[in-house]
Amino acid sequence: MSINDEFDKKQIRTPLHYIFQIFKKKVAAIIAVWIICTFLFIIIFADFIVSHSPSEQNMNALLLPPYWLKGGNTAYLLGTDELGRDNFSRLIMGIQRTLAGALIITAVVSFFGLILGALASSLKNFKASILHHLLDSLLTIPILLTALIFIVIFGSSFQNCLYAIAISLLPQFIRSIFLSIETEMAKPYIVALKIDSMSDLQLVKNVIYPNILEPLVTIINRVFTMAIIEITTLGFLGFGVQTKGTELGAIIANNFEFMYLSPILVLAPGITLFIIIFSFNVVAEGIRHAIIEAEQ
Amino acid sequence: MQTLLNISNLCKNYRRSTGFFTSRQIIAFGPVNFTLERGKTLALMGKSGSGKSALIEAIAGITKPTFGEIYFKGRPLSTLSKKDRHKSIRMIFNDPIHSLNAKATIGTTLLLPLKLNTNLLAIEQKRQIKDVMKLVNLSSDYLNYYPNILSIYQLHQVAIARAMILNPEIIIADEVLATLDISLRFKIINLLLTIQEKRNISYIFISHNIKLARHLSDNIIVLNNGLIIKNTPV
Amino acid sequence: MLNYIMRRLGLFISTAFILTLIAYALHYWLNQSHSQPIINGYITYMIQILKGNWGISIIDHQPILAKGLKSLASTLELSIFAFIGALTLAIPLGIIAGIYRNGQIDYLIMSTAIIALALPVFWVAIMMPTVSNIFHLTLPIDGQISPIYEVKNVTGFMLIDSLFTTGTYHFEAFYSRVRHLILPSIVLSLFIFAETIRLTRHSISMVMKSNYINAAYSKGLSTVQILRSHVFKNIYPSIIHDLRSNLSTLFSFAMTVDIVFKSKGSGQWLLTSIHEGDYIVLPTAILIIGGFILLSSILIDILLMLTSPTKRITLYVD
Ligand SMILES: Nc1ncnc2c1ncn2[C@@H]1O[C@H](COP(=O)(O)OP(=O)(O)OP(=O)(O)O)[C@@H](O)[C@H]1O
Ligand SMILES: [Mg+2]
Repeated sequence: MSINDEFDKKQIRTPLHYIFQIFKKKVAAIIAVWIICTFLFIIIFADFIVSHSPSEQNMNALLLPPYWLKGGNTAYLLGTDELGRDNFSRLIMGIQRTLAGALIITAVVSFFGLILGALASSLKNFKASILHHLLDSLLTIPILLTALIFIVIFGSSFQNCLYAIAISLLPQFIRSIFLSIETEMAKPYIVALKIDSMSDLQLVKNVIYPNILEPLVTIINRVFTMAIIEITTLGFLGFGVQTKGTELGAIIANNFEFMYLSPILVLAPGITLFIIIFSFNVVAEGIRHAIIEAEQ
Repeated sequence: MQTLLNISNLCKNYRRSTGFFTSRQIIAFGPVNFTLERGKTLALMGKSGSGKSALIEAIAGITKPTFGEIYFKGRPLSTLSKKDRHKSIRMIFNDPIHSLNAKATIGTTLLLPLKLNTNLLAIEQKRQIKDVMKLVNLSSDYLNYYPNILSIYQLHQVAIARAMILNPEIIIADEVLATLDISLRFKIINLLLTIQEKRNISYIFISHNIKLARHLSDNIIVLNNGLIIKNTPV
Repeated sequence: MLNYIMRRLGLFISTAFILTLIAYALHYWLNQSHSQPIINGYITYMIQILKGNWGISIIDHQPILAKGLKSLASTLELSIFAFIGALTLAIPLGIIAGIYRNGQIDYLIMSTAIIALALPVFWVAIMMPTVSNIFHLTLPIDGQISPIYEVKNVTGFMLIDSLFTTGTYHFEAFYSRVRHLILPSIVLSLFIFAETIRLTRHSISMVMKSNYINAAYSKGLSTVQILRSHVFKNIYPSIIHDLRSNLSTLFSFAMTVDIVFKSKGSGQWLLTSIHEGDYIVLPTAILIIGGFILLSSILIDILLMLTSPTKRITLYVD
């Protein structure tokens, strides 16, 4: 909390510190953290990792298998696709685009969602009722449909796909945040703080959010998972790929036809995607459990 | 002797919806009239559901009354600023664990009302906190602790310190003693009485225990169905 | 009771009204030529909608409403199959995980659930033919039903319509439809499976912690007896309620699956229409799909209320 500084200096053990201590003991979660760090490293240094330009074609090396199989070549670690492009380089660049996109969406949705969720919880009577009916009706429209609508409106570029997905994930986020805030608001310690003259917005920002970390982790992890699945799904369906770069879902769609000739073409991006989502979910579960254990 | 609080025709209704368009008024209490003098203690008694909690919540400013006015030193409370009001009338909640923010240290909890309601300098704030801790006989070391490691009695001391920190003139308590065993109850009663003597504070408290109410208070008000059926000096 | 139903219906009407506003806003944006002011336009639009004139597809000159409903029916068949499969597996597993909370079995089951949740739906869908090859299953990998059968459109639900053809094909057409549903519903069931395990485990451990279970134990009842008499009736409302709030996410996945399996569902309908530039399906889709999800949510609420009136579940505002 930002309010205390006088007494924080010689605290026995802050809650965050305590949660971290418990989290450190969770082996699976720590491994997942390292995997995520590797992927973050890939995002930052993708341009230095790749051995070939992802669009460079080699007509003498079409559909090569990965280097450890017969006919493979160490110049192409994961082989090549039907145009002789390096699978490894395309995979790395795909990870960069897809994961960075999903992280940006998560950050943006969380930022606006936390603000709007706080505002939503401070609305009263008529305005609150209007807002909730609007959210109710937005929530009945599947995310994929909303995203498609916004792509039609904005035009189909990768960036617009990101906007479309961010907007379609926002109502769900606001609703979940709002429900968590409401549950917390009903607790007696909040009434006590209210007659300490704390305003509703101060309460939400300084007291409620730190106290609902556990549902927050779940909600944010949900947004991330949905974001990455929607990015790749839209890429797979052929939206947002006109630009030069590449994206994991688009790679899968592109390689799909040649799957029987060289399974690695579809396996590598798919499994990578799975590992990313899985690691983030394991870390989120680990944090959640650490928070629950710390509270007991 | 000064009249601190003058409750005049105070009412509180709740609206409970009974149908798609219809709703029914539930009278929590009122109209209610009584006064409270400086340094005196008032006990509220009555059956469960008679409106005791609703009444003190309205006085403490947790809820707004539907009708009527509360005069504080002759001025209507509704004309006072939120800060002045919360400074003068403070509340002790009946469940000390659940009324403390588990994520804040005791020091933070005590500092918060000072920060939000006064313009004191940091040194003065610190001194006030030290003073109030001394007043409730709690060592200043506890300021750095989180509530979860304190004992029940210590939590009650903290709750009292939190109510006292702004030097209020009236303290309201809702069944604070009900959940405690006898020995702790007497310790807390003694603590509250010493504080009353030192700072000349008025108390309003709810109790189900007639003996205790007789022992502690100068006036006993009995509510039934939201109305005062008895207002007797002890 | 009646009261509650009235309130749900009121909620349905107001939410549906906002849904039509959204659909109209989109319709307005898509139609570049505006002959009327906005409000008159909305009234005209609603009159057309209520009359059933939802427009004609520019691709094949079929009425959009009929096509939309037929594709919705196909997606629904898929979803119902997936639900049945996922629930029969996930509920027992979730109960076991909840009872042996934090034990080895719990760990194993929860890991399975996270894995199922982390598998990208469209990728599993394209891998499915390969997987079924590995197990030597000869199941159809795309389409709605084998094209050799001519099934007349009666209810829109291919599964039911194919039963009307027993005179010509006996049950062949019906079997064909069922076989076409197997692979896609396995893919779709992964998400429901994972969610249901999580929800069941959560409700079970909540119930097991509560006092009345301790009381039941102290009366000397065995775990199985307690499960049978106390736990089931207490967990199913919250599981159904939570699944209900996931309906629209589930529908997203169902659309993805039916696109990959080319099973003539809502996803494929939307995608082909967008690719052909027939954007007018978008407002229609909002009304059909959004309306369907809204209607089923409200019906689930009312059914839950009828079967377990003690739990007044309100996710929606009143
Ligand atoms: N938030 C509320 N909404 C609707 N009705 C309420 C609300 N709070 C209290 N009431 C009603 O007001 C009446 C008085 O309740 P109150 O809590 O003041 O009783 P009480 O005298 O404190 O009882 P107890 O001794 O059990 O604490 C009751 O009928 C109660 O149902
Ligand atoms: Mg009470």
